[in-house]
Amino acid sequence: MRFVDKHKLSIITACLSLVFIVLISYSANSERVTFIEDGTAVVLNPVQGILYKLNVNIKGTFGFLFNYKKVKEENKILKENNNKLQRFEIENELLKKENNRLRKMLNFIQSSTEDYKYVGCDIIGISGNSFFDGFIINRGSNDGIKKRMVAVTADGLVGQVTAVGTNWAIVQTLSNENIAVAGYVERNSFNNGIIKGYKDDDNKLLYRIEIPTLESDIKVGDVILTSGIGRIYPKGIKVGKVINVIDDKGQISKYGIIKPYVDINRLEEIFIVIPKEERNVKY
Amino acid sequence: MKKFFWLVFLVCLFQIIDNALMPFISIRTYYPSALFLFIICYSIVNGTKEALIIGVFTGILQDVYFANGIGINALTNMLACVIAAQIGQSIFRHKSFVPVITCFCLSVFKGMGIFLLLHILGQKVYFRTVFFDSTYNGVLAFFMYKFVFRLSNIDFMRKRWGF
Repeated sequence: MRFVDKHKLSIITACLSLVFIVLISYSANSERVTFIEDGTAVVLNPVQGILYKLNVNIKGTFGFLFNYKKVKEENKILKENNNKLQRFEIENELLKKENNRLRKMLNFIQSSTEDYKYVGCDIIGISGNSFFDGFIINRGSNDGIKKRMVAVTADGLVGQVTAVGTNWAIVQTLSNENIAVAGYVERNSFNNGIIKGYKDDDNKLLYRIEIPTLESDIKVGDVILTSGIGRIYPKGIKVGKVINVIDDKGQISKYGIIKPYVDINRLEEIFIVIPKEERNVKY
Repeated sequence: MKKFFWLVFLVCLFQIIDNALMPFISIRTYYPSALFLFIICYSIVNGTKEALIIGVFTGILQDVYFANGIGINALTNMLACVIAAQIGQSIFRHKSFVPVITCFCLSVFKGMGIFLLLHILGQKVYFRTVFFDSTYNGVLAFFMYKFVFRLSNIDFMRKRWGF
């Protein structure tokens, strides 16, 4: 008994360590967060969301003041792009009508993009310390969000849902190595690449597409899109542009380093892609 | 009771600061953890019993947003706090030098623990994150220790818990 009294704290520490190791192995691959995690997050999230928004605004204002010239140039480019897009919209409308008419004539199945609905979410915090580049969003299982669903913005692919609470969820960006999506080169429709996260020596958040043959046709400047394999997300979401190509002769494969279209450090809201029919989706 | 509420309030506040404020002062995407610094400094000043409780509690809170298995932060925080408390017993607590070095070393310890546990779970993280985050923590540890030392000397904060 004297031994127990003398080493009470050491014994408690050892027992708790064991409990935590069991908990880690039990909860590592669970589909939903525990009710304790859910309850805690539901209480903390509103305050966190307000603070996060406030900081985004402060950062945005300072960014605007310090980069006034750059913003002006960007505005000019955006105006040009806007004119171009308005022209495309008219053309697109005409093509859509023509497409529908032809589909009816051929009795064709609906296009893949109509199989998904998009749920808009606000970002209310950062998750995973510096280890995982993740976000906390203000929608969860109440809105039909599930683990492994895909997050996008108008600019392109962001990442995947990795944990879901009732009215919150965690999205991990593609820039961390644990998330992978299938992609292809838009120029030649080559669709055997796996896109994963990559950080360069300056810790810049980039992606890497791995193509398993040295002969594959991938060049600097190529646009990479999602291929939609597995039907978790639609085909053709923009991922990024290739900025460097590396031959790995040892592994007999080729890597393309991709600069994402999405600026992960400046995100405020994202969309979660929810398939309308889940029976064909392997989550 | 007053001490308990103050501690819970400060822990929640630092957790919110970590998720909503710290990423905005990141350097090349590395940012410090105010909550971790607080609990290490608190453990150095207040001894093993309180270190154990605060380590477990804050660890579980951090695990809520870590989303890769509950218990990873709880285990590493608990061990780091207990070590911090042991170091705290044999130093001059009014001097900041050893606590600052302790914060840096225990940040590395926690980072390595997380790296190892995630590696076992098959999750990949960049090891350099551990070093850069710890360095950033070490820089801010000086200010946090001063704050915690003053806080712990307020009358109602000096009451000890029994268990």
